[in-house]
Amino acid sequence: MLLGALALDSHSSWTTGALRACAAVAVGLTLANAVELTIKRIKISDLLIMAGVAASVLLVHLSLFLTLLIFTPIALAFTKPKPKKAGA
Amino acid sequence: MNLGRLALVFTILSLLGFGGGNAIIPQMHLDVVDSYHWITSAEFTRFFGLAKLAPGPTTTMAALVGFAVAGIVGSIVATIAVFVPAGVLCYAVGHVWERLRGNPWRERFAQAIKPVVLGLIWAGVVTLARGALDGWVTIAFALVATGLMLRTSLNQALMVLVAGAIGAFALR
Repeated sequence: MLLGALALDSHSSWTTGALRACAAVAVGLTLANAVELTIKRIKISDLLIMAGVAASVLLVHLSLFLTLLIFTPIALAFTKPKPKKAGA
Repeated sequence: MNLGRLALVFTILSLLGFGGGNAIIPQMHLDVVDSYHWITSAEFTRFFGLAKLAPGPTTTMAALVGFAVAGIVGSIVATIAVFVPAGVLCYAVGHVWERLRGNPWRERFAQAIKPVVLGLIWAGVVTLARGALDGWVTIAFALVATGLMLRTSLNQALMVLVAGAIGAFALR
């Protein structure tokens, strides 16, 4: 809460500078997280779904509920069921 | 009035938070910055940065948003609203999910939801970048953090803390 109060009432240029740096680093950390997770899923269908979701949210401002409602069935259609193991 | 809206906004975010805190960032930004104007985009990203310092998930930033809206009471309301519904839902769905073990649809759904969540995370990155990266110094901070995160196993909170100390001089 102290941090919140500090962030809201940051008249000191030192505090503002520190908070701006914290925010920038947080963006970098989230970007790294996104890159790490995306590298594991280099499939055209997955990349298209990712791009579609991101564009819908950023450009059309589609709500989270509608995004999940529209894109989850599409993603399900593109996901092949795993073949059953032999003998199972 | 604001407390009710605060509780509603964070309860909905909590219930739709597939994929964790980073996936709900765009919707949280849309609600608290664009729709209700409780905080500015710059404050949103600063809260996100501060939440990285705290132990636990980044959704702890709900406490900071709640504090901005209605002080300590707002902070408590937002924290309860963002954590309790998701906890209850996980408990309830967990039993059903466990019963579906071996069902091909369970595995299929788990695989299908991943690119959707990743798309939301990428949208979150762009949303945060719009509020936080306002010059070459902040862009440099972000890129260095990305590189360090991908190449080393440094503690995230430590990175934010050190960046804050440097930023106090470099960005004042």
